[in-house]
Amino acid sequence: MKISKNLWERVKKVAAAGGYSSPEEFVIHVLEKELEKIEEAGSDEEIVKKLKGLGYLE
Amino acid sequence: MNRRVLAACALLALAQAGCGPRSSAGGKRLIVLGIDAMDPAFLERHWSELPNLDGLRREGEFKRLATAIPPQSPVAWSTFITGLDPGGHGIYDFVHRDPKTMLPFSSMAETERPKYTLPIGPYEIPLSSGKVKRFLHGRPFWLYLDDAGIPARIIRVPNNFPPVESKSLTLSGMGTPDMRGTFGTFTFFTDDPIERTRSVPGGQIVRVDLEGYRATLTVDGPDNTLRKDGRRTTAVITVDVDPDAPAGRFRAGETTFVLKEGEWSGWIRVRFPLIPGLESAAGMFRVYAKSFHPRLGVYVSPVNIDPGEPELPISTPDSYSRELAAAVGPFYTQGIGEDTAALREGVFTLEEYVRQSRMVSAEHLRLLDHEMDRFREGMLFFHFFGIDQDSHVLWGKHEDKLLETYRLVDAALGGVMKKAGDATLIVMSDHGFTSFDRAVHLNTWLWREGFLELDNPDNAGDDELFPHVDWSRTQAYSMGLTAIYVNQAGRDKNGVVAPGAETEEVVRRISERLLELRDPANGRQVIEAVYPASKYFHGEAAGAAPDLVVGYAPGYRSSWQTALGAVPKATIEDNKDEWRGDHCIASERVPGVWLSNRRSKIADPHLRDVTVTVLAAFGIAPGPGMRGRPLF
Repeated sequence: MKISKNLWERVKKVAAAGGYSSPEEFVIHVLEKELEKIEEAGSDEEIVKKLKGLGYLE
Repeated sequence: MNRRVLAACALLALAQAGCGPRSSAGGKRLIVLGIDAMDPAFLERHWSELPNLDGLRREGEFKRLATAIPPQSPVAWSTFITGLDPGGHGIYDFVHRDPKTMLPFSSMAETERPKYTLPIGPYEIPLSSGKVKRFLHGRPFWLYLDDAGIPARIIRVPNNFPPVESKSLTLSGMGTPDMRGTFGTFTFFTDDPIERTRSVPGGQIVRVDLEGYRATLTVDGPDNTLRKDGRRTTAVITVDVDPDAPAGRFRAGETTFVLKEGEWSGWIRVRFPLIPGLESAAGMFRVYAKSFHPRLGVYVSPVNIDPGEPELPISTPDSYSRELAAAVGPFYTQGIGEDTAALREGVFTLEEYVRQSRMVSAEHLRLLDHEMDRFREGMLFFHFFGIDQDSHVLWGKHEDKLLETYRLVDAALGGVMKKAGDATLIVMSDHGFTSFDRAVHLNTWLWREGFLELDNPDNAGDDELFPHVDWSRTQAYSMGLTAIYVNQAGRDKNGVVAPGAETEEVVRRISERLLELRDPANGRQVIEAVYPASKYFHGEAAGAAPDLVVGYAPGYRSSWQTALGAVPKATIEDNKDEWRGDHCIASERVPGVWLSNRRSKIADPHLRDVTVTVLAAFGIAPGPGMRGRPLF
């Protein structure tokens, strides 16, 4: 995966300030957090969708 | 051993195999027909048109049957099934909430994926079975019958999915999902150019294009839980439309059939591939040819668990559903088969809905007929849902059509009475019915009264799951059809109100204000009763109770937005939905029905009394926590 030099510099700065052992560790952490959010949102939507199939709810 | 003796031994073995373990019923028979939502006032308006129900009333008696708090089917049936109040059985609403996540879930069952799997390519082979979790606490009454050696047939009983392990013959009813794990998801295929593929509550609209005169209809099946990505499986139906006549030739799996416009297919059995060539899942659906010209319109029912080859547990023993399917043909296994969702989305006209509802009723009444033919002793329970679902969409506006549903039940009762002999016969319902004219946005009311805060008042709207609630300043919220919860510290995810006295004070203030609420449109009192948990819910499952259950006046009900955690701008709005009748109101206003061929000794029977009465019929004492009274 390629990213711009500028972005990489920003990642290194934030990773260092945030106390990560490496920029790679920071990137993995950010990706995991974002994925969790997306996966939870998907499953929340599924929950609501399923419940809406019950006639009492629209 | 000579041939005669051998033959006699074989016959005896067969007879014993059919009867199972020796019965202790001593020839006693008890029949209980559970007619969901049968309303006493409706009966009183129509006795002359319901000769068998009227006959039962004259032979024995008719009373109103007090219902549960709140009077929702899963709550009420759970009280009948266990003999316990909600504090004992733990079911308080169709929709519960998990205080740790603030997410709603169905109180009827939940499927858990298997914990341990073996990954092979895109597949995850389960090493342990996934579970379907049931939430009902307490002991279903038929387990007491099991203990006492009383044979029982419990047909389509609600809230028993997956079925509790039992020696009785049981078939699950309300709460049983379709093969997609939902309450029932229909698919409507159309080539109407103004339509687009989209999800709707209870279904999917799928836009298709014809190639020449052929359309390919892809029906979604169960999630492929053997794949890591859990991708949905599909089955394909091809339809070749006759260029001139309103008819089409369909092919689905191994089955080919022709339908004219307005015709229904029978049940089409298909297999959904899980691992190609190795594993597949059985399911079945029905096809309705709504239109061919000028536009194609094909409705496919929810994919039902095939009772002849059930992929999920729906009966005890496992073989029972297969035996029933072999005897009466395949039948709707999803808990609520009547497709009100298709009506509400405009896929069905009212006539089409009624026709589909009658099909569901006919299949289920065949089960009753079949079991009555074999019923020799013990208990037979049969649950019928048609009146409830039909009442929701016909109440107040189409009483003639609703009367037809009642007459179906009346005719079935006539058949039962002919075969009942000296059996004790009870016809009961879990609650009555009333109109649903005004929808109350209870979270909006809580907001306007200062019990709930939004991050920004401009964010009031229909977004579900409380996306804009400021929990740090919120004392209470509503989720489900009748429940208010205090935002309690140590219990709720973002709780701020201390348990004990502070919670009680919030409940007291909300109760007071609710009873003072008047509808600005007409000045009517909106809430007639409030039921605080501290007063009404006691028992092992009381911890899960809402802090307050709301008892609406007839005509009012919580909005669907309330049930799913939205905070719209308006507090009360007209209900403009096809779902025009309901019963999730003050319990005292929607009692159910008690009819019996025997006279009872109690003037004011309650659902919980029926459980104790069932046990007493076979000399069984009430179980722990049951406070019902024997009615005979």
